[in-house]
Amino acid sequence: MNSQDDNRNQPPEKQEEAEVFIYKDSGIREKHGYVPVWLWAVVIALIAWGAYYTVKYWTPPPS
Amino acid sequence: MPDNHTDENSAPSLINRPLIKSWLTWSLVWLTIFPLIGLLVSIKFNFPTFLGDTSWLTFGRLRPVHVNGVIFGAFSTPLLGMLYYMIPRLCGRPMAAEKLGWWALWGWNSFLVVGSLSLMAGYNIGFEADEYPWLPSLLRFVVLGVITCQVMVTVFKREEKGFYVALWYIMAALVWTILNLILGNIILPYMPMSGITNTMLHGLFIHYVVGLWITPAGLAILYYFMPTATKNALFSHRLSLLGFWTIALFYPFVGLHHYLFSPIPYAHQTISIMTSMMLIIPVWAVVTNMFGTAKGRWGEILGGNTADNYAAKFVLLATFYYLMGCFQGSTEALRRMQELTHFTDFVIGHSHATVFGTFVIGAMGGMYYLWPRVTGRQLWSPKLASWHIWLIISGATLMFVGLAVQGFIQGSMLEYGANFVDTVKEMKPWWATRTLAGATMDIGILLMVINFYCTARYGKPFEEPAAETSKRLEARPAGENVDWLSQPSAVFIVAGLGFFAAAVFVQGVIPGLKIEASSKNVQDIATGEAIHPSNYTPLEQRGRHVYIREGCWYCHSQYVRAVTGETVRWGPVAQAGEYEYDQPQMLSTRRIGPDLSRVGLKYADGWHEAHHWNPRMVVPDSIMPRFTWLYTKDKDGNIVSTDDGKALDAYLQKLGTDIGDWRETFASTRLVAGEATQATPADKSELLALGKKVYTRRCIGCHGVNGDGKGPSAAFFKTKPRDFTSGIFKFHSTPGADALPTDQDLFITISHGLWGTPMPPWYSIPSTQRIAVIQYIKSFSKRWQTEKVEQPITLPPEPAITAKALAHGHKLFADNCAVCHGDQGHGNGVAAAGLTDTWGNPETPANYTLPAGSFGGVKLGHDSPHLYNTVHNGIGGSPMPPFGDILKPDEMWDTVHFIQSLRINAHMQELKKAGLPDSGSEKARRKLWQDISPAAEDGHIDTTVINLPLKLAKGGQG
Repeated sequence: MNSQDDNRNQPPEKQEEAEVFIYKDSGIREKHGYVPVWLWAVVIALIAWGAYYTVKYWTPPPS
Repeated sequence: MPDNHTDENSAPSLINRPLIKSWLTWSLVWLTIFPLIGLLVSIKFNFPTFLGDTSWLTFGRLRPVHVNGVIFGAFSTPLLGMLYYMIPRLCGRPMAAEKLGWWALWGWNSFLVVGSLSLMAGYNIGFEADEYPWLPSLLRFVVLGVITCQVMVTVFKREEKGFYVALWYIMAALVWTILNLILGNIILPYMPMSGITNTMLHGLFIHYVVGLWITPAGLAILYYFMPTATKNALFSHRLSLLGFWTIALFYPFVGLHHYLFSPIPYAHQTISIMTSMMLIIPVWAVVTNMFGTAKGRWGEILGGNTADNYAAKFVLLATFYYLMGCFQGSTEALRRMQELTHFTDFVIGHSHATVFGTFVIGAMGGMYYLWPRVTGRQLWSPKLASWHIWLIISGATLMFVGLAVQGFIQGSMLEYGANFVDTVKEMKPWWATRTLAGATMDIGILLMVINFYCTARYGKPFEEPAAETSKRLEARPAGENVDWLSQPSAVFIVAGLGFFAAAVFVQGVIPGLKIEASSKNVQDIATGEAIHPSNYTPLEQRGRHVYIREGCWYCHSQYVRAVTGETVRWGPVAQAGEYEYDQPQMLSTRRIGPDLSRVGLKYADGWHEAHHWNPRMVVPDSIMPRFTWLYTKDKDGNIVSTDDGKALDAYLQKLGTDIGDWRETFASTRLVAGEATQATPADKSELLALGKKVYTRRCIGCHGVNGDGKGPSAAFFKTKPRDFTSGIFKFHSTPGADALPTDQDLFITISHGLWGTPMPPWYSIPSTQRIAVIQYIKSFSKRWQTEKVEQPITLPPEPAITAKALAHGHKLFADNCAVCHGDQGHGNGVAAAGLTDTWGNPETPANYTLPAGSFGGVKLGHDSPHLYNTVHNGIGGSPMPPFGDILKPDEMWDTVHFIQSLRINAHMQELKKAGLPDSGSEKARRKLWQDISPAAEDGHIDTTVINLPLKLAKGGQG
């Protein structure tokens, strides 16, 4: 387990402070960051909807 | 070539500033020109004659110049220039073979110039967003190939251990686009395939241009310049991973949503819809990442006046439009949304919100960041930059919202059943707003160009600030942050090659195999039997080329969907086999004009000739350009079509005819008018006022201001428009030669149109308008005041159709009709030549064997009641006399049935030639009789009539 994994159980704010990386020639800094919970909820909801939609509309509804 | 590798701070000799400056300078040129062409094109919506009648400057020629120019000029040029900045900075080493960048620049500019001029000259290969002919396409491929190699080598030999998210997007965008150009420039135009397979692959191609070039390349810009311009750390590497990999997974599958409700297999349409909705995930991930990155800096960004502040403002604005535009894009893929909004400006609003709103604006943000760094000068005027961004915000918002709203309005009108041209007229104020919005945006861009010019010339010296280090956060080398999903090999192999190949296989190859196996046949609409579609004749093929060259397909679709009443408006729903010989396919994605897939035989050739000469002669509200270069003058000084013009007419007349003679039984024109269409005296004054308006908008071009049939378009017609001042009309249910028709008779003629003549069907305008215009038409002749309209004749019951009756009918026909109509009803009797109508115009007896809509055929149908009426009452103003006093009712019915048998026999021959098997002959013949004879429909038809042997005979009867 590396240091990033260690931080996963910490609050996002803590992770931010612990995990910042720099690309030296561009000067860009990047946080390891997190995916907000609400976005995970969107992801799960969309995947569930996508599965439902694909199955339901695999064939045209009877007209 | 200039070479300057000095750099201001941490990375000396990484970048070539003159090279980047040159790319960005040319970017300013293309940013000015290509959106401006869009502005000019938009003016044509309200002023169709704007820019005159020059072929090079029509909507159909300039539209692809604008669209491709914005994609490959206004967006891609700055993007490619920025690669020479971003790649070395992110890789810690100069771009590999950097000097090739100069060749790439001139190659790219040559591609844009040659490509644009080619399109204006009419060299268009017929695939939307892939219109350039081979030479500019080859130039584009070579330049992108060179840059791809430069980027790949630089990335794989990079000094920086970290592999930043912008690089993922750049690598993937380049790999995807190289593959996509092979799809678009080689496979689509040259690999033989049926039209619907072509359509599917084009759906993938067109969305790969947007989704696998503009989007990832544009996101690379946002990901690079957001943290650099805001001086903040990128919010979340994990969000970057989620965003990139979901975009790479879902985007390659979505392209078929451009052609929903087409003959593309249903399940694959569903996949495209589902994956389109899934794109909400990467969009929201990217947006969260961008806004998260700006967190804590909003005050500085919004209040700041430096070039970097403006870079951040533009990137944030781009992010906002990305959120809006892409949400619109995902949801508009849903079937119900597509029913309403597809083909309308709603879709154009989406493409402007994403291509311009997100990525061109994002690229402008990047340019604000780079320009001081490559010129060594501070931004000349923050005030101009402020005007720039506010003009862009104002114009873009007005445009996106306006286009979306007008799309809903037009879609709703069409779904409600409005006449198509009426919906076009309704759009005109919105199009004026769109022009205003475009002008606002273009002025903003012009201010940017002025500002950048003055910056380079008069700006104070600029020193790039050293990269800020966080006081709060301890940063570590990015190399520690590299996991498998953010490795170049994963991006290149899995995302770049793997997902692309999987999508093309699932959404192109598999449904393509299904289509190739099933598109050799179509279902004949009249009989339900399987028949073969026919290939284009050389003349029709030439016309198809003209159709593509003139860009007709940018405004006219060619597929009827089974939704929003399109089958009632235009005709039977599209079938895959109809497109068997269509490469490139012409389904199109836009309807500024009506769908044309069923236009064949709807109008006479003369109508098309008049329409192409000046559309407003026959459709006053039309916004179509004139095509005067398709005409010449004959030796008598008459304006006549060139060979190209005739070929275009031939092509249009072929459209929609592969599904058999469907027009005979088309529900919208198969009418019986009831008492409700008879105006009462109390209605008339009100109806007259409305009727005059209707006449002025819809009839005046042919029938003239005075109703004398001398409208401006009449000169193009073989069959002259009716002279209403005579009060004589062709078809009347009332007895006697030239008897005045009832309002119901006129209602049927107006609604149905007259086949083979320039009189089109008007069933698509409200019945109130049809009733009103009848009253106005009647005001042209005093006959209506001085004569009484007789009661319509009463049709005696239709007797059974027997072989004996047909034989009797044949004899009666030979005795009474053949002298004009010919023994076999071909309209070539001995007296046919030299016949004239009441006004002295040549008149051709009807050829009863021709399909609906053919010139010289019957004009109002082969159905029993209509033919009985016509035989009984004659045809007004023509040599066709009434036989009501000559033949007995039974004799007339036998004659009618014989006439019908002529068409049915000819129809059976047509089906046989189209591949109808002998086994289907009996069923087909029975169905054809049932379609035109109520007696046959009730079963009163002998089996001897149905079981006639079907054999092919040259010009004979089956």
